[in-house]
Amino acid sequence: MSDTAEAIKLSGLTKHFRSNKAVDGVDLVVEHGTFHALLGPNGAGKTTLLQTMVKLLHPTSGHGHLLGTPLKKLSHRDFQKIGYISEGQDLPERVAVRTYLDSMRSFYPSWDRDLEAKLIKELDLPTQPAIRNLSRGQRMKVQLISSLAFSPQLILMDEPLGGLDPLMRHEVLAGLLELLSTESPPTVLISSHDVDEIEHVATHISYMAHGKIAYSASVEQMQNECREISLRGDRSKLPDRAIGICEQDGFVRYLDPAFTDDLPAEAESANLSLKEVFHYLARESRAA
Amino acid sequence: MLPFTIQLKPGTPAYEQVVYATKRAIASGQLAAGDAFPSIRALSKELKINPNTAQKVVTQLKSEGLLVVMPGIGTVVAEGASTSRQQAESALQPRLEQLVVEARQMDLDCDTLLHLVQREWQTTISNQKKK
Repeated sequence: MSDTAEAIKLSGLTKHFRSNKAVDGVDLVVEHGTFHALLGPNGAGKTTLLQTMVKLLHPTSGHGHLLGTPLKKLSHRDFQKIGYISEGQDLPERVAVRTYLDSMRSFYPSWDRDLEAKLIKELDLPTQPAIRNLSRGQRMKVQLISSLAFSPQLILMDEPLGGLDPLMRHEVLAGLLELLSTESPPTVLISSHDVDEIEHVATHISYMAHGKIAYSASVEQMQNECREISLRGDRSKLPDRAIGICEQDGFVRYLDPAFTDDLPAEAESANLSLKEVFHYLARESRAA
Repeated sequence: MLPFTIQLKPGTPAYEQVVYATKRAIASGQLAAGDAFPSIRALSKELKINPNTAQKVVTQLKSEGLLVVMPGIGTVVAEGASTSRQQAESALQPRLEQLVVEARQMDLDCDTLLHLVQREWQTTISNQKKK
């Protein structure tokens, strides 16, 4: 176990592809034991950010630490404590699921056979067929099991729920919760579009757009402090922090990300779901 | 299966919603003293909430004296978990006030409001008994 306070710490992490600023100065802190959802529209830079973190890409500039080790110095030893799951990862097509999991086990001294068996059961994964005969959802399950069964301290997941049908999503989430119910749950950073399903599982969220983190908070903080404010009249009364302002039928509506009880006159406030907050942030980033 | 019904809504902390649902189940008799309360793991999986949140729910309900840990059995609903009359009144007062003010704004008289409350009472309690 590393003794640093953060499982992930990124400062000014940047990855440019020629003129495309895919990741553009990302500062992010993920505390140990939290479940951090990285949200944002397609093309926001989420996948590039995760790939830069696991050394699939070299950063253009900036720094980062995973489990206290600088990104540059991460070695295979560190990756025995860090799981990485992404959509469309290459798997050996001709090999049976059972054989594949057995071969993965030999790489990881910390592989937990009980956890492996539990996950196979929880995810209802057949282990006899060759990987090429599996559905998309089943392939994701193979990846999940092979990245979770070695009890990593940190798991990075790139859209693990993407393209799965509701039943599969349900099962994959159940598998994740199984893992979080263990005695020393891992830290999870997960990029996702499924905001509804993630709202009560995540402890923290960050919203990414145009290569930058535009909003980052604990879910509790978001639920307590994000309010939709609507008022009749013009924009002049709005606080500077108003996000995603829209005007319709003589009403102005916006997201107040740091609501206290100081409502402007004649204004109304409403609680927002994570999805609605997401929509406001998306509108703001399109306008920017 | 959970011994009470709850449909989690987005936008409000899951923790508050589950605590409330449990209190509602106890108030309506759906959960009685001595009934087993689900484990943290079961709560987490059934409701798709973070185990930390489930832990918080159980801790809160224990600190309010609604749940107790029985060694060898698990967590159960406490004897006398239904609150005293005075506690109940002070807990309900703010919402009663809100209800009266809103009814008044909508030009309802006291009898109509009482009638509505009565009807709601009957549907809620009879729904829960069926389960």
